[in-house]
Parts: sequence; structure tokens; C-alpha cells
Amino acid sequence: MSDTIISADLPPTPPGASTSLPPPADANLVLQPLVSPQRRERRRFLFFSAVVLITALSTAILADILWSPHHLSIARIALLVLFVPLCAMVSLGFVQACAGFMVLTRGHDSTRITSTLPNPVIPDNLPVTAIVMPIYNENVREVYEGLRVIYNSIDRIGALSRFDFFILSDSNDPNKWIEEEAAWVELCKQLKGFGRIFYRRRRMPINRKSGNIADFCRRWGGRYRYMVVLDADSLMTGGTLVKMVALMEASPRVGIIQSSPVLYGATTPFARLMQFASAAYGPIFSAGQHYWQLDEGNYWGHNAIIRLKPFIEHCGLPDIPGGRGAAKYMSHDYVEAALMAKFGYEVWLAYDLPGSFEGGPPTLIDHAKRDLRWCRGNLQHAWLLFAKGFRPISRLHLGVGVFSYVSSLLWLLFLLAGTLHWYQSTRVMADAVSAGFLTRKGIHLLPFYLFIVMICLLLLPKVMAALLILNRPDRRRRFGGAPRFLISLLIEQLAATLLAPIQMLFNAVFIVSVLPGRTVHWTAQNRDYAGVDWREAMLTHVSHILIGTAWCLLALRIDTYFFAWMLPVLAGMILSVPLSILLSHQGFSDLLQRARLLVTPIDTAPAREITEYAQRLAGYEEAVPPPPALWAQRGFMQVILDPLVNAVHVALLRQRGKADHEVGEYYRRLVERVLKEGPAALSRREQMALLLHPGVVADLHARIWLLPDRELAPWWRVAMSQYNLISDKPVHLLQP
Amino acid sequence: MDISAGDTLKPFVPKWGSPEEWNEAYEKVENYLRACRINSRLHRARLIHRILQRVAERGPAPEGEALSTAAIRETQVMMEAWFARLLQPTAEGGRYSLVDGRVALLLCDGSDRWPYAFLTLNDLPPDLVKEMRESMLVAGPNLEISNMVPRAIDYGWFPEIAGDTLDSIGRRPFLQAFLAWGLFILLLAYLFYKSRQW
Repeated sequence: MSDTIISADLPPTPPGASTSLPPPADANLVLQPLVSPQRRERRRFLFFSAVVLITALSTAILADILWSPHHLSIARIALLVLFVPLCAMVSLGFVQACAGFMVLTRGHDSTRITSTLPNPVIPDNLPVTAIVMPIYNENVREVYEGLRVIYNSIDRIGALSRFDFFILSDSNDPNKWIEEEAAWVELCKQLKGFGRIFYRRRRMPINRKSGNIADFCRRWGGRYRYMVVLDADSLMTGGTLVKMVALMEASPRVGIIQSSPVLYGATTPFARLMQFASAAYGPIFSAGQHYWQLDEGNYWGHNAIIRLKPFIEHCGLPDIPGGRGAAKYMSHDYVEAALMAKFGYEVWLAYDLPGSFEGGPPTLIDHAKRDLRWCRGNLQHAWLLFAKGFRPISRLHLGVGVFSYVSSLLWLLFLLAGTLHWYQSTRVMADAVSAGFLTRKGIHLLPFYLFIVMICLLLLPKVMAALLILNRPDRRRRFGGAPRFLISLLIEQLAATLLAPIQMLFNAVFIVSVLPGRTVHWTAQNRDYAGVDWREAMLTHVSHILIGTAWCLLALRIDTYFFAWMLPVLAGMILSVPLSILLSHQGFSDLLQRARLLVTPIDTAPAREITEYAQRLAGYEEAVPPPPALWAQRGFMQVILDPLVNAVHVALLRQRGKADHEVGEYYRRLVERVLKEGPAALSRREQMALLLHPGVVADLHARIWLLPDRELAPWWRVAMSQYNLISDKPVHLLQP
Repeated sequence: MDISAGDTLKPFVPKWGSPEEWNEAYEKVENYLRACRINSRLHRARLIHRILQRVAERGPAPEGEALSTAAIRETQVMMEAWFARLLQPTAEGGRYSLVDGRVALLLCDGSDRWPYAFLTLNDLPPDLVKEMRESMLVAGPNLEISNMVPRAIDYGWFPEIAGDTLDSIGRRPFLQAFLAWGLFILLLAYLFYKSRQW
């Protein structure tokens, strides 16, 4: 696709002027559906027929293997019943990969949304779009440097006047809050971004991220035609952002365009594995996913552009039904996509649009924590499976999301049923021999053949993805060359085999805990980023080791062959602790890097934005931080001691209309405590309450300096004498 | 009131207050100026001297007021006068706030770029004046309110029944217990039955 973005030297858009939305150029409007209903239905029929065929045949073979005229054991029934949905999921993945392989090999797909991109793309024809970045207690430096990179990228193509940036904070940690404010001012100064980069911290973080976005929509949604939603670790290139806006402008029927983000920024072995898998297999699965979902795709919550008017009209999420108390949808993205589709708007996956990146969890335990959030969110979607008015494909998206977690529990039950069946077979000879049709016809070793079929369904997608890469010299080079790429594939497959049972156990526990509303507790981290320590790994994985060991002993007792079957599954469980540590270890990551293994195009041919981001972060000279007691309260310290940070904080509160109403007894008591005992005497909630009152914050600042030392807590005396002493600036997070 | 720190600094010996009080005042003012990012030690030293000299010239503070308090108060008076000189023409109704002045100072990096201009009334750099007056903190564009409210979703018959059932079970702890016991007893009965055949 050769398209051009023509930069234009535009005069800066003054604040308040961006509400004039130029109408789309009529000549470029795509008013007819990109895919005819017949073509859509034909594709989906072929696609899902293939899934049904594979599942049905495999199930029939298993049923034949398990057939016994004498009795139907619980184990047999369970194996058969559980096999159906599990096989269906595996088949879905396989057929999706086949479809993707076919599309990518053909090299041409007329059903892509990107085929409607005008050529050339002229930014000054586009309306101003909001780029929103909801954040919650994030690493402020990383977030703001990412924003800087995106800003610069857009600036390079001369489209800066077409975008407004919103940092939407829900942070409830005073340290983070004050860091965000101070860093926002610095960023705007450095980029001359006042009037273009905005910061808003929500007082009441209702309904988490979706509520954060909804709050933006209520306040400023009427100013913009579109918004691009980013995560705290998202990066997108300016060219991609402009193209997404152009695509929305060209197709008034489109509600959401979701890009296909690639993982970047991997520093640990676990993150490198995920990054490698994303780069190697992501394209084939994305293309395959697009093949069947077409204009009824899904939204993943970030790196996507949304048409604001229908989003505001139709995507306000209600509470979840049932249960005690009002629960909110955690995984709001799938629901919003389904609602957009319900009201007639198209949702597309722009799988072939490059320039979209996201970070990933660095360790197995971090990945599990994220999975817990997603598990909770996805299980909530079960309420919507029978909702009126939803499109069938939307229900499928929701169902697949639910099942992607439930399948872990089903897989565990399948393995347990298999263990029971094998045990029974060793006790009752008749059970050991299949009485099925195929066996009686002389086809032996059926279980083995079925196993091979399953393995092929699981591995062939990776083989196809590998072929696509090995087929082109430029792609081979980007993955480190053919030999290294093949070794990397083996490493990834070995790791995936060992990690899968661990993730199965994690998810099974999540399901069992989340359904009755219990909380899963995590061991406190003690990381200096040399990786996960032994204590954290032991405490997190102890149940996996116990289950794996017990199962191992049971398997050995049942039958040696059964033990051999189960070994790949049990090995992962038993080795969970060393695996967790090894895959988080920086030394192992360095070793992989030196050997040029698990290398991806992000490493060999990174986008300019990725390089710029990495250089910005690496270029920071670490300021010597203040002593730990001060560092722990650095936000409060800064906002109360620093006249300039204090003024910014007060000014921002007053801009939001926070009145300097009379200070009641509650605040007076808090102020006295903080003066006499130091900020650690207040809980986080109390600190936040103080920081929300502009009059109190201004008054505290004045009193801290006016009061003689004898009337202040020792903490304040030390803070005052140390403030800016070692560094000539406060412990800034943003360097120019 | 001439607060220029460019005046010739006359050495002075305080005629009141103990050396410890003057030390505390010195340290407090130094800490405050450092917090204001007055990084030029030369200028900071001049300012401290000037401020303490003015405190000394005023005479002893009212009873009960610490010398360091008087010193900081004097610093803030000087800051107000300085901001008034810099911002007055643009201030709304001829008034401005100390907060506005400090924000403007931060936004234009006044302390770094004009290291000797802080609290100096004479020969104010025109660039500093211009940038202080133009600096503006804009947290967000003008509001354009939309009405985004939760829209009801008709979940259909299944979640309604399931929701009512779960809700009933959730509100009745004994029912939950009975269900759990019932499952346990069923499992026990099954194991008992199977064990007859093993």
C-alpha cells in the first residue's frame, strides 16, 4: 500500500477553536459496505464449518476410543464432554491461522479497512482528534516519555495541530499525583505543549478506566469527532495515527478501528518470549481473525480510534446484574465494541497497519496478575451472552473471551478425568481395550493418532507463521537469520510447553476464586529488578509444585506409560519456581541477547519511535534520591515544601473549580497532625483529602515555612534542610 | 521599597536576637530560596544577607514570634512586591495572587534563565517580564459537556433467572451452606457406591 502523508505548515490552532469540525471530503467517503453480506456469510460459513468439521471428527474418534458396551464410567463421559469445547478452541485457533496464512501468502486482501485509505492523506483535511491516555499510579517517567515520543512523531509529519493530548489520571497515590503534575508542567515547557497537552486528575475514580474515559467524554467529548485511546505503555507513530483518523473520516459507518499492537521494550527473558511470539505469530493470527470477523471485530481497550458521538450515545455501561452491590464491567472494551455493533457501527481490526506498540508484563507472576484482572473482566461478559440486540459475532467474541479462561479449568478437569480413566483401565482390563468401531476394524494406536492430530492443530499455526518468515530474506534477517530464528522457535515452544500448565493452574484458581467473589492474594514483591526472588517465587508457586509432585507420584503408581504421557504437563508444574526465576533474570536475558536469540524486528529494525523511547529512558542521569524516609513521602513533601510545585497544584485545583471553602475541624486536625508528626502520621486517604483542598494546601505551605523549627516534626526539619540540596532541582522525572 | 539585591551590601551585626536564632533564620531563608530554585549561590547569599538585614532593621519581632518566622515573612513580602512589579499590568482587576506569580516563575524557568533577577526590581530583563506575563497554565480546553450515561442492557431471560438465583443464594448464607453440604454428601455417596465395585 503506497500512501503518502502530506505535511502542511499549518498555523497553530488556538485553544477553543478545535470545535469547528470540517466535513469529510465527499469524494473520499466510503458509503457502501466494504464487504457484501453474501461474501461475509460465505467466509464465515467456510471458516466455522472447518472448525465444526475438525471438532466433530476428533470428538467422534475419541468417542470411538472410549466406547465400551459394558459401562459408561464418569471418567469416560467427562473426557468426552470436556474434549468437545477444548478441541473447538484449538480448532478455532488452527483454522484462524490457516485463514491468516492464506491471506498473507496471497498478499492481497480487498476486505481490509486500510484499503479505503485516501491517497494521499492530507492532515489539514482532518478534524482535531483527542489522544487520551488513562493512567493509574504508573511509572510517570515512562508514561510521559512515551507521550513525548508520540508527540514528536506527529510533529515530524506536520500534523501536530490535528491532535490534542489528554493525560487522564486516576492516581490515588500522593507521590504519583504530584509527580504527574510536576512532570506534566515540565513536559509542556519542553515541548511548548501548553494548550495541546492537557492533564486532568479525577477526584472520584468511579468505574476505573471505563469511568475515566466516560468522564473525558462528558467533559470534552463534544469537542472532538474521534478519540484515540492509549494505555500507559502504548506507543504509536504519527503516521499511523493520521491514517487512522483518515480511515474514520473516509468511512462514516465505522465506529472503532483497532490496530494490532506489537509488543516492545522486553528486558526480561519472559518478556522476550512474549515479544517473540507476538512478532512471529501475531500477524498470522491477526490476519486470520480479521478473515472471519470483518466489520464486526473487537476492541481491546487501547491503540484504537473511536467515533465519539455514537460512543457517547450508546456505550455508557450499566452495572452488572446479579450479586450484592453494584459491580462494574472491568473489561469494558469488549462490551463497548458489542454495543457499537448493536447500533449499526462497524468495528474493524486494521491488522496490516504498522506503527502500533504496547508493553507487556515482565515476569510470569506479573503476567498472572494481569490475567487475574482480565479473568474477572471476561467472566463478567457471561451476563451478555444472551443480551437482546447483540450481534451473533459480538456474542461469539464475548463467549470466546469467557471461554479463554474457563478452558483452563476445563483442561485441568480433562487431565484429572484422563488420570482417573487411565487408573480405571489398569484395574479393569476390559477398560484398557477399546471396543470402538475403528479398533474392531483393526485401526490400532488410535489414541496416539488422535494425540498427533491435536499436536498438529497446536503446532501447525506456528509452522505456518515460521514459513512466512523464512520465505523472505528481509524477514529472516529481522529475526536474526534463519538458524537463530529456528532455535528461537524451539526455545519459545519449549517455554510455552512448560509454562502452559502453570498458567492453567493460575487461571483455574482465578475462576474458582472469582466466581464466588473471593480475592486472590499475592505475595509482596521485593524486586530490585534483578528479577523475581526465591521467596516470592516459592510462595506464589508452592501449590503448583505440590500438585505437580503429587500428580507425578500418582502417575508413576498408575502406569509408567501414563507418567510419560503426563511428563510435559507435570514438568512445568514441578519446575515452576526455577522457571519463574530464570525467566525474570536479567543475566539470562543478557545471555539471550548476546547469542542473538529471540530477536525480533523490534530489536533489529525498530521504528524510530521505539529507538527514541529507549534512548530517552537510557539517557536519564539518575538523580541521587533523598533519604528513604523522605522518598517515601516525596509527593507530599514536594507539594508542601516546594513553592513552585505547590503553586501549580493549587492553581490546578482552582482551575477545576475546587472552591476554597471554609476549612472544617476535620482538616484543621489533619493539618496539626501533619505539622507536628510528619506526613507519615496520616493515612494515604487523609493525605489525599488534604491535597484536594486548595486552601489547605496553600495554607500548609505557608505555615511550614513560617513556623519555627521547634514547632515542626523532625521529619519536616530534615526535609527542609535536604530539599534540593544534593540536586539543584527537585527530583525531577523529566529531563529535557 | 527598594528590594534590589544589587545594592551594596553593608555588613551588619544584629543588635538583638541570639546567634542561634539568627542561624535558624539564615538556614530557613536559605532552604526557602533553594526550594524556589535559586541555584546561584552568589545571588542566594546576597538575597539572604539583604533579607536578614531588613529583618534586623525592623527591630525585634512581636513577642512570641520567632526570628525565622520574621525572616520568611520578609522574604514573602519581597516576593509579593516583585511579582506585583512583574505581573501587575496583566493581573485581573489589578490584583494577582502569589500562586499566579510562582506558577509564572516556574513556567518560564525564571530562576534558571535569569539567575540574578529574582527579587531584583531594578533593571528587570525585558524578556523575563514578557515571559512572566505570557505564561499561562492550561490544564484543559474549554468544556463541551456531553451526556454520557449508563444505558440499560436487556440481558434476556437467562441472566435474569441466573441473577435472581445467585442473588437469593447470596442473601441466604444458610442456603449456601446447605448447597455445599449437599454437594459433599453426594460426592461421598458416589465414592461409597464406587468403592463397592473396586
